[in-house]
This record gives sequence, structure tokens and C-alpha cells, in this order.
Amino acid sequence: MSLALPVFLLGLVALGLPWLLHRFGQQQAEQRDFASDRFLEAVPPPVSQRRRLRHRVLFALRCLALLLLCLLFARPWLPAFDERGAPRTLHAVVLDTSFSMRAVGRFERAVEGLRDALQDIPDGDQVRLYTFAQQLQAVGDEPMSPALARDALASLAPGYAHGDYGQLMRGLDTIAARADLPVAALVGSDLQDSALPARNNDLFAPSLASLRFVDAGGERPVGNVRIDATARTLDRATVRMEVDVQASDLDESVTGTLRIEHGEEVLHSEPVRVSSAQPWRRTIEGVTLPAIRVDALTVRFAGQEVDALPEDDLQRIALRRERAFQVTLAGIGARLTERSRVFLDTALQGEGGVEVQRAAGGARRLPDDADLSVVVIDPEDAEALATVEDEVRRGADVMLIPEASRRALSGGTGDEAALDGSGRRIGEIERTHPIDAGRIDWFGVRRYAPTVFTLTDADRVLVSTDDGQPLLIERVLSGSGRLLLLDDPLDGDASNLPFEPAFVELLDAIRNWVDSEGALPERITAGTPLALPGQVQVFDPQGEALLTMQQRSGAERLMLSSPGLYRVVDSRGERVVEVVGDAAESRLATMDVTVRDAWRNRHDGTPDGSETPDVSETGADRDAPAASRSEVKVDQRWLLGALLPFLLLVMAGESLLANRRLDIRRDGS
Amino acid sequence: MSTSVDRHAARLLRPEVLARLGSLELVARTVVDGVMTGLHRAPRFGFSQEFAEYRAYSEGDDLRFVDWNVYARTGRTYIKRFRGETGTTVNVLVDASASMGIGAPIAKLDTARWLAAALAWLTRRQRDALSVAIIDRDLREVQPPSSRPDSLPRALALLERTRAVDGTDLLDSLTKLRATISRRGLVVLISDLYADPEELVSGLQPFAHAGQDIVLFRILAPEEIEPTAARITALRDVESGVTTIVDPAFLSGGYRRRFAEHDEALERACRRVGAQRITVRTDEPLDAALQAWLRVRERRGR
Repeated sequence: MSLALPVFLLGLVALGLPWLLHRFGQQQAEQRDFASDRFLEAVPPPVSQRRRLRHRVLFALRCLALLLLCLLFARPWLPAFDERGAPRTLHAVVLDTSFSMRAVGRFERAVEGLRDALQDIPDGDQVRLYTFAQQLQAVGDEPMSPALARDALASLAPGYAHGDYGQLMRGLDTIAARADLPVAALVGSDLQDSALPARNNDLFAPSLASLRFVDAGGERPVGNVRIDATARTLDRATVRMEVDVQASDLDESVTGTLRIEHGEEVLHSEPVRVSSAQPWRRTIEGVTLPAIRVDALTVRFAGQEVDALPEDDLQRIALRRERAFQVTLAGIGARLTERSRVFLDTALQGEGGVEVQRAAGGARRLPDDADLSVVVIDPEDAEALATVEDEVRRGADVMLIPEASRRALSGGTGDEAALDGSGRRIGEIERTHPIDAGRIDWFGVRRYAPTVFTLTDADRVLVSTDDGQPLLIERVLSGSGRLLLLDDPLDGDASNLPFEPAFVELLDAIRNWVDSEGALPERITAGTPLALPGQVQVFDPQGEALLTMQQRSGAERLMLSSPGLYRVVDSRGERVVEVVGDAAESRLATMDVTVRDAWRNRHDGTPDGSETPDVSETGADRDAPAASRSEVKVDQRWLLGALLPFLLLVMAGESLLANRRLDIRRDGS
Repeated sequence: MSTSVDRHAARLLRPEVLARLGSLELVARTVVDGVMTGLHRAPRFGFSQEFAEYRAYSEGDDLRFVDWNVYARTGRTYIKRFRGETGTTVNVLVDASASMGIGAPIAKLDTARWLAAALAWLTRRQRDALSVAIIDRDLREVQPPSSRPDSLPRALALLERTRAVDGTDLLDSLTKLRATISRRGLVVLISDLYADPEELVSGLQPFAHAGQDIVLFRILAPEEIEPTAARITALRDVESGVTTIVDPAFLSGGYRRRFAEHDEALERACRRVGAQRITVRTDEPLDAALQAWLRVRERRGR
């Protein structure tokens, strides 16, 4: 006989409780606060020899009762209830549905192994079926019988997300901690090495009664090739391709052919030789597109004899326009100083990807092709301001700055901080705005001049100085354009902002905010949520809309679980998001057997106390635990018949004596 | 009519009602108004604001009471005096040692604060100078005598923030307080008087020799006068922390005898220093105590 839940033996610590009761309970009378002991006279409570003896018996009975209780719980009686139909164990059957399970034969092996294992589970036990990739998800709302679980397994299919065994064990631990019954986990997985968590401790679920695996990984090595590519075009006639072909778990290099296709037409083809140690990476310039509108291409690796996961040999990629972010510097009724232009140029072009142009002087219209216009105006020039607001209503994104000379004319405010040159620090920052100016390090920024823009009801102050004067304002107008007011001529006199790193960060944040392409990622991994801007619709690769009318207004994140090209449509146009399988999942190598055994051995206790059976064992081996279970049942019946009445007798005696003792205490003296 | 008013006033004076009033100022006003309802306009107590006489201005008098009409007519400064005004300084000493925190649901310190607040209210109503001191093992806080109008709110604020902590040393506290009291007047000590009677005499005698009238309000909770216990009980002295296990039989016999002996000894001590002692129970209304106080004032006013 062994103890199935030895942790309950910790309850023996409670034996100290009767000792404390008897050590201090007899001597401690009811305690009250009293004003003064001036008139009191101590009287020791009378204690008879007979009473002491009784208390010792009581003490012994209480200790015995606690001892029996601990033993009973450490040796659970649940199996004895089998005969009355009550379940004794909850079996959490987990099927790995990560991308790597799509490798040839893996998913089928896992399902078959789990079905076999379910046959060994007694019909009276409960089974809860789960799938697992990044997170554990229950199949069905209620526990089911083993037979139903076997049927339910047939309806499951592998997905494309990345598996994480740490998340699996955290999920199982939570389930086991909340369950009324001991939870035995049975995991059907390929035991992929790349899905192991960074810390070994994450593989431990202390609440779990046992852990068994159905190893669907198959034999090593598990050779696989994965392709990853991007396509960019300047003129929609030729394409520049970045292609990355990686191999994993291959003993030697393999050869194949890379094909870039549009529909049935092969646009480019070349041989590829790749090995686990030597990936194949190329930039292919000048791939000529057909004379029709092309939005997406297919990149394929073909020709390898052994490839365990064919689905990652092919990738659908969106054709991205290779175009810099266009910023136009303009002045309407005012002139941008050379110093301001230099500061803006330097900050905007620092990281690349931005092209800064100067608009013709005195223009009353802003160029149509600008992604962002930085416009200088005289804040008192109502006509210029109206012109800018009209442009914004028509869809232009504009950042207004005041004219430097106007700033100088407005003079000081009498503000001491401004006059003595120490300046004003940045104070309030609106952190809920998408520009997220709170992320910017404003520490060194000082402002020496007051605000010149006049606030309106449509203004939202995003950044202000510690004396409450606005620095960055968003003016919300009707139309699809955006208008920002940066109350600084950026000449280095009104503030030191242009000299500070915060200026580059600010312009970068503004650029990201106005850049419609940048509002969504170009590519995400399957199984990760896509953060959506408001009022958009998402179409899957088959062209089906994913959001209902209600979700369109409220959805902020959308889980895209299948690879392919998803179209995101809103009032600004259409953008394409590529969803690709996780690269780590393409490394199909299984974990070392020592790692697997160490993981399992940390959960080697089973609910009925028998050794953990490995489901990959032969049928004859499987019979042995069943025989030991029946022996255990006999043991438990004997224990139940003998120990439980004894425990009841002990507790009755304890109660009787305790009551008599209380009677003695109650009479006071 | 007056009967119903009296009943209403008496109902308001019950400790459990006062405890719910919250503000000490409100308690003081309620107590004083309740007690005065039946005495209103009784000339012997003289608490109305009726004009009594003129007195020549002397240095230190409040200029607001100078009658400027008389000054305009005569060129001399006179102070208006009112009926009941005695020019007395009332020194209220509140014992806030830990033993004053005893008592449920009304702690002795609560009763002491209400009583002190009511006395302060009456004192200011009579335009007398008021001083309040909080004592425990030491002289914890003193508000010097003042006849300024703000002396009342300051006194109430001091009483409001007073908590029952620390032990008691009446002799030491009274000795230190003696140095701060110069003008003749009334010394009112509100305490449970768990002190050695001889020490109390030593502490109060200098005041008596200085011509002060002394009134002792002894605040007691019912469980101190007649303690009961159903079984052997450990009683912890809240000031010393010493726990004494006592028998219920002792509490109903020996304790009460010792308590009565101490009470008699206190009475003798009070007689030796010419002090008047008034016992106030926390479960009884304050009107009896205040009427006793008014009788003291009446005697002094004569």
C-alpha cells in the first residue's frame, strides 16, 4: 500500500493544535480589560488531579483523531466509491493542435494513441477533452465519458499556432487546482523541442495528480524545409524579393527549386541547396510582373524528397509598394525658417524611410501626395488657418507650427521661469491618445515662450508644460484628415525641443499615427491577435467577412488562426495583413528523451497510487496496472471497514469528554 | 408644556443619546440646554445675559465689553458686567489615562469629555476665563486660562482629540499644573480617581492653600462599581498591563468591600482639602452632575 496523496500527511502538523489547546487552554481564563488592579486579589483556579487525568485522555483522543484523519485523506477513498458509480478521477485528455502536428503522421498518431489510452480509463471516470497550442482550450462545456471523448477526438484538427508546453502545464495546474477530483493529464503531442518553455520549472504543475504522454513525434531525424519571403515593388512592373529558405533536423543538405508564381504562371525559378547549418537567403531583384494588376504572389520550394511538413514550403505574400513616407514642409502666409527646416529634416530622416520635400512658397494648397504636411502659419491669420482646416477636411494630415517671427513678437508673459532662462518642464501628458506621448522621454525638454495658438472646443491637449500651457494639440475636425498643432516654431529659441531626442521620438510617433500603412502590421504569426483600429472590416483569404456589424464598432483584437492574406478595409482604403505559420513550429525536432522523462517524473504519482503507465507500452504491460488497482481496492475496503468506525468512536469519545470538561469550566469555581 | 420640554431634555441627556451626537460641541450644548431648561431665568443661578452693573476698565479686560456710549458721555472707560458674571477662572483638568478608556458602551473618557465640554460651555456662557488641561502620567496638554471667545472652540477641539492612553500619576500632574495656575478660581478635576487618597491630598492641597475651590468629578463605569463574572476571569490592568486571575465570588464580595473603603478614604481626603466630590456613572444622565456643579457656582457667586 502506498499513499496516493502524501501531501495530506502535512496535516500531522495539526497535532500541535491539541497540544496548544491543552497547554494553554486550561490556564487561560476569560480575559477582560479592567481599570485598575488596586482592589483585586489573585485567586488561582482550582484544578483537581482527576480533571488533569481526564484532560490527558482528551488530549490523546484528539491527537488520535487527527492522525486518523490525515491517514484517511493521504490514502484517498475515492476508488472505493467506484462500485456506487461515483467518479474517482478527472482525466484531462489534451491533444496538441499546434502547427507542427500537421507534419506527416503526427496528428493521426496522437489521436490514435489517445483513443487507445481512453479505452483503459474506467467508464465511471470523468474525461475532459482539451486542445492546446498557445493555450489550453476545452472541447465541450461538460466532462464526458471516455467513449464520448474517443468520438470527439475524431472531430479535431491541427491548427497553425505555436505550441508552448509552459502554457499547457499552467493551464493543467489551474484545472487541477479547481477540480474536486484528482486530475490525471494525458497529453497527445509531438513533444516538440522548440515548444519547451525557457524555464524547466514552467513544466511543473503541482496540483496535477499524474501526467502521461502519447508521443506522436515519430522517429528522428524529422527533416523539414521552410520558406519565408517578402515582395516589394516601386513601379508595379518589377518586384524585389527577399527569400529565406531554412532547413531543420536534416542530416545532410537537400536540393530543390524555388518558384515565384502568380496563379499558374511561374515568374521566376532557380535551384536551391539548403542544410540545417546553411540556410539559403537571397534578394532577387527585377522579377517581372505580368501586365495585369498583381496584389499577391506565391513563393514555393519544391523538389525535396523528404519534407515532414509540406505546408510551410509554400507562402502567399502580399505585394507591398516600396515607397518612402512623404513629408512636405510648407508655409501658408508665413515662412519656415532655415533653422526650423534643418531641425525637421534631421529628425524626420534620421531613421530612413522618410522623404522630406519643400512645397512652393506661399502656396494656398497642400500637395496631394504628401503623407504628412508640416505647415507654418501665422496663428492670427484666420484665413491661413481656415485653408489648412479645409485641407484636413479633404483628407490631408497636417502638423501646424507657428511662425517664428510671430512668436518673437508675442513677447514674454512675465513668467519668471521663462524670463530667467530656466524654462518650463513638460507637465501633463495625455496618455490615452494613440500618439502615446507618454512613452517619450521629455525629461530634458524646456520651453521658454508661451502658447500662441488659441484653443477651441475641438482641441484636445496632448502635451502641456507644467504651468498648464499646451504644447501639442489635436484639433478634431470632420473628414478623414488629422490636424496637429505643435505650439513651437522649432527654431531652438522658443524651446530646446529641436535639440532633444524627444523631438525625434515625437515626430516618429506622429508619423506612425498618420501613416495608414503603419497602423496595421504587415505580417503576424497565426494564433496571435491582430490589434484593429476602429470601424474596419476584415476579410479572410476566401473573402469572407470576419466581423459582424456589432463587432465592427467594438472589436479591438481579432484572432487570426489560419495562414493567408487577410484584407482589412476601412474608410482610408484597403490594407493586406499576411498571417504566416510560426517559424519555431517548422523546427520539428522532438525533445530529448531525458527531458521528457524528467518532465513526466515530476508528476509520477497517479490518483490510485500505481506507477505511471506509458501509453506507448505493449498491451501486456497495460494489464499489470489494472491488476494492481483491484488489489488496492481490496486494501481500501479493509481500511474503510476498520479505520473509519474507529475514527468515529474516537471522535465520539472526544466529544463526550470535552463536554464534561466544559461543564467543569462553566461552573466557575 | 414645561413638563414635556423637561422630558424631552431629559431624554436628550441620556448617555446613549449623547454618544450618537458625535460633535462634542453639540453634546455640550445639548447637555447645558437640557439642564438649563428647568432652570431658565431662575435668578439665583444668574445665567441670563441681563445687564448687571458697570465696572471700571482695568488693564487686560476685553475692549469689546467697554461701553463706548458711556465713554462718549463721560470720557471714562467702563466695562459692562452681566448677571451671573463672576470673573472666575475655571480650570478643567481631564484625566485621560488608559483606565479612563474602560466602559462599554460609553467609556469613562467619553463621559468625562462630555462633562468637561458642558462645563466649558457653561463657563464661557458666564464669560468666565476657561482653562483646560489633559493629564495622565504627566501633564499631557494645557490650554492656558483665557476669557477670549475662541477659548471655547479651542477647548472643545482639545477634548475632541484626547484619547485614553498611558498610566496615571495624579500627584505629579497636579504638581506641574500648580505652576501654571496663578489666578484664584475653580479647579475641576474629572477622573476615576484610582489614586492613593494621601497622594491626592498632597496633590490638591497646594491648590486649596492658594484659595482655589476644588471640585472632583469621579467618573465610574458600572462594571467597576459592581463587577460580575460567570467564571474565573483574568482581569488585565490597562495601565500596568498586569493580569490578575480572580474568582467570581471575590468580585461580588471582597472587591466591592475594598472599593467602598477606597471611596470612603477619598471622601475623607476631599474633606481635608475642602474639595467637593461628585460621582458620575457612565450609564446615568449628566444632569445630576451639572446641577451639583451649578450649586457649587451658586455658592461661589454669593
